[in-house]
Amino acid sequence: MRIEKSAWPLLLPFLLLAAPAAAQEPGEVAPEVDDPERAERLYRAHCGRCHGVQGLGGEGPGLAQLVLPRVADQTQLEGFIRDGIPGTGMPGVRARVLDDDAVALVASYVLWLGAQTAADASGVTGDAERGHDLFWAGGDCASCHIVAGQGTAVGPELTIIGLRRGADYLREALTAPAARLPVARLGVRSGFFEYLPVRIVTDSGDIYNGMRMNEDSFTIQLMTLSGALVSLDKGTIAEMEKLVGHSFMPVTQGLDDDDVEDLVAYLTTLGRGS
Amino acid sequence: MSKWNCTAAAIAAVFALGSATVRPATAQVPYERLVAADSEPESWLTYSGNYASHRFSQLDQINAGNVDDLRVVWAYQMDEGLIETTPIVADGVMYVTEPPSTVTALDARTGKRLWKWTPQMGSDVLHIGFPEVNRGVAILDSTLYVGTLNAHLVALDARSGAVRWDVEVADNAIGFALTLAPLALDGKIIVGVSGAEAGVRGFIDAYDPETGELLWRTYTIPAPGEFGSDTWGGNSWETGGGSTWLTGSYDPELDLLYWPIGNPAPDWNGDLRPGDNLYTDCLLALDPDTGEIVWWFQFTPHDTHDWDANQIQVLVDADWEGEPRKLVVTANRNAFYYVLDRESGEFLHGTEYSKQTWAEGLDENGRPIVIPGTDPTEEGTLVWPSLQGAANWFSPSYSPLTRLFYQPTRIMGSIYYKAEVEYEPGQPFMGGGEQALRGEEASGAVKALDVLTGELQWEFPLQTPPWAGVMATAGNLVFGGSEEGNIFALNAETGEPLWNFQAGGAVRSGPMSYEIDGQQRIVNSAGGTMFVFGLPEG
Ligand code: HEC
Ligand code: HEC
Repeated sequence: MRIEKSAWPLLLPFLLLAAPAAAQEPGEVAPEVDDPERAERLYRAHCGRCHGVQGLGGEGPGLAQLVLPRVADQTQLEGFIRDGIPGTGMPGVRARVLDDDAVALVASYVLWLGAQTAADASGVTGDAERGHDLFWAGGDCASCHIVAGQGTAVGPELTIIGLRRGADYLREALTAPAARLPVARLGVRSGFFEYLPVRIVTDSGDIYNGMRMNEDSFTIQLMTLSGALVSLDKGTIAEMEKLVGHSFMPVTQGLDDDDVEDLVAYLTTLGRGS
Repeated sequence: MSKWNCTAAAIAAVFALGSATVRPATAQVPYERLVAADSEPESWLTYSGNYASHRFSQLDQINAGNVDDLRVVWAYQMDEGLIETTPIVADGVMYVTEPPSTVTALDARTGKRLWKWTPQMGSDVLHIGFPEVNRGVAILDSTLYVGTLNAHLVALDARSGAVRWDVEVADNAIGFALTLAPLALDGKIIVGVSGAEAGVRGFIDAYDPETGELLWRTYTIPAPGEFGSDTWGGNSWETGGGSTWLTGSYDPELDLLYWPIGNPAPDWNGDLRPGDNLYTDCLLALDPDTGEIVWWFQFTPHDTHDWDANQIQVLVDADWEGEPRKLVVTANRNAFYYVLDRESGEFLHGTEYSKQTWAEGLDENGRPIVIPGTDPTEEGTLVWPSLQGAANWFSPSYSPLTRLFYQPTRIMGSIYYKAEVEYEPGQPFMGGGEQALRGEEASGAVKALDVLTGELQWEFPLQTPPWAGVMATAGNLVFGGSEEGNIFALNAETGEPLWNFQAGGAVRSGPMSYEIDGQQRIVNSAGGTMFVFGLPEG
C-alpha cells in the first residue's frame, strides 16, 4: 500500500524526526490500507475534528501511536468506531453513516497512522516526574482537580485525562484555558459547554458568579468556586451573562514553558500507567 | 337475584358518599360525534382533537389567571420506552397507548387501570430509522383501532380490550411498521405506514371498521405507466419510500382526506433516484371513498435530506385576499411554512419560519429555489435545518381565538453525509447520515405564527430543539414541553411563560385536555410517566 506523502505537508517534518523509532518490530506486518485516499477522507470527516487531522490528538487522545492503550486488535478498533466507548466522549458512527467496509477502512488507516509513528507521537517532550511534583505542590492544581481520589473538584476530574485528551489539547488547557471549555458528550446537555462561567444579577440586586451546572427555559443552576449551589428562577433574573470565552481555570502563573511541558507529560501518563 | 340487587344497591350507596360518578358502561362514539368533536370539549376524540387537526381545547376553566395553581391530580407510569402518544378520552375513560404498541384503558377520574392489551410480537420486530413508539388509538362506535410496530391493524372492544379483529397491513420483515394513530372516518379506518428507511414502497389504506377488510390502497410511489412515474429513474420507484406515518386530517364538507407523505429512499443518496420523486414529501388530498388522489402538492422535490412532509396538516377557514377560502396550512420539516387552498391544492403563500440554508426561497408555485452545493457528500455538507428538520411529527396547534399557529421549532444544522448503498430487503436503505450540531450551536423555540402570513408574532426560547407538541386552549394558554423536562404553559397572545412543572424526563408527546366531574384536566407525558394536571378543588 502507498500513501501520497505530498498530501501530508504538515506531517512530513514530524515523520522525519520520528523516523528511527517508527520502525516496525522485526516480523511484524505493516497494516494494509486498501484505498488510502478514501481512507484519509473518511478519517478526516469522522475522526479528525476530535483526534486531529494527523492523529495527534485534540479533544480525543492521539491515535497516531504504536500502541493504543485500549485497542487490542483491528476488530476491537472497529467496534469502538461503530459503537463508541460507552460513557465517554467517544461517539460511535452510526451504521448509516459508515457501513462495515468503511469502518474497516478507517480502522486500518488508524493502525497505519500508528505504525508510521514514533512512540512519542503524541508530541510529549517534558519530564513527567517533575510534572507530577509541580501538579501536587507548586502548581496548586489539586486545589481544583481530583486525581485518583485526592484533591478538590472545582474543575474536571483528571484521573484518566491521559486516555481522554491529546497533548495539544492539554497544553492549550494550561496556557489558554479560556480558549476551549470541555464539551458535554452525554445526555440532554450533550454538546453544551461544561464549566461555563455565568454572571447573574437578580431583580433584588444580588450578584452571582459561578459555573453553569444545568439550565432549562425556566431555571438555571450554578456552582460557585467555593462549591455553593445557586439555583435561580429566570423570572427573578435582571441580567444574565454567559461568559463564553472565559474560564475559572487560572492561566498557570509563574510556570514557564518547561513547567508546562512537564505538566503535560505528567497528565499524559494519567490513566495509562507511566 | 334479589340478593345481587341488594348488594349492588349497597355498593352504590357507599360510593354516593364519596365522589362517585356513573357513566355509560362503554364509550359509544359514532361518526356523528367525531364530526362534531368541537361541540363536546370535555372529550378528546381523535389524535389531534378534531378532524381539522387544531389540537385546540375549548375548555377555559384553567386559564391565564389561575394556571399557576396547576398541580398533578394523578400520574400513570408506562411500560419502558419513549412516550409519543396522545390519549383519547370518551365518556370518562382514557384510552392511551404505551410503548411499543400496548393499549390501556384508564379511569379518567383516578388514573386506575381498567384493562390493558399488549400485542404478541417477537423480539425481532424491525423498526428501521425510528424508535419503538406508538402515537395513539382511534375510536369509532365502541371499538378502538391501534396500529402495531409489526405492521398490524387491530380492532379492540373498548369495554374490555378484547380483540375484534387483527389484520396484517404489510410485511414487517421488509421494514413496514405502524406507529401512527389511525384516523376513523364514516365507515372507514385510515392508516399509513413507516418504513422508508428500509426502502419500502409507501401507501395509505382504508379498512372496514366492522370486518377489517381492506377497502382501498393508494400507493404513494407511482408504478410505471401511472402519473408521476416519470419522476423516478430506472426501477428506483420499487424502493422509493414515501411512507405515510403520521395521522392525516379530514374535511367532512369537501369530503377530502389530507395525508402527508414521507421522504424518498434512499434518504441521502439521490443519485439512485433521479427526478422529482413523486409523491414523496407531498401533501395528498384523497377521495376517502376510493382513495383516488384529487390533488397533490410537493414541498421538497428530489429530497436528499430526509425532510418527510409527515407533519400535522391544519385545516383553517379564513378570508384570503377578501374572499372566504378553505385553507390547509403546515410548518414543514424543510423550514418553510405553507398556505394552500385545500379544495384545489393551489399554492397561496410560503415563508421561512426557521433557520435554513438550502433554498433561496419558494417560487410562485411554491417550488423551492435550491441553493447549489447543499446536497450530502462523502466529506459532509453543513445545512440547516438538520435531518430531523425544523418541524417533525410533534403537533402544532391552531387557536381560532388568537388566529395564531403555534409551532414547536428545532433550530439546528447538520453535517450531511452521502454513502453508497444497495437495496437489501429488511435492511437499512439510507445512503448516508448526519451529524447534528448540538449544544450552544442548536436551540429551539415555541413560535407563534400569523396563520395566514406565517410571520412570527412571538417566540418562547427552548434550550435544545424540542420533540414535544403543543396545545392551545380557550383559557388563552399554550401548553408545551421541553427536552429538559419542563411541562409548561405560555400566554397564547404574548408567549409570556405562566407555569412550569419540572417532570424529570424529556417530554416527547403532545398535550391534550378533557373535563371530568366539572374539572378541566391537562395531560402530558415526560420520561416514562403520563401526568394529569388540574386545579385544586373547592
Ligand atoms: C466528538 C469527538 C470524537 C470523535 C468524532 C471521535 N472520537 Fe475517538 N475518542 C474521543 C474521546 C474523547 C476519547 C477518549 C474517551 C475517554 O474518555 O476514555 C476517544 C477515544 C478513542 C479511542 C480509544 C483510544 C485508546 O485506546 O485509549 C479510539 C481508538 C478512537 N477514539 C478512535 C476514533 C476513530 C477512529 C474515530 C473516527 C471514526 C473517532 N475516534 C471519532 C473523541 C472522539
Ligand atoms: C481555580 C481552580 C483551578 C485551578 C487552580 C486549576 N484548574 Fe484546571 N480547570 C479548572 C476548571 C474550572 C476547568 C474547566 C474549564 C476549562 O477547561 O477551562 C479546568 C480544566 C482543566 C483541564 C482540561 C480538562 C478537560 O478535560 O478539558 C486541565 C488539563 C487542567 N484543568 C489542568 C490543571 C492543572 C495542571 C492545574 C495546575 C497547574 C490546574 N488545572 C489548576 C479549574 C482549575
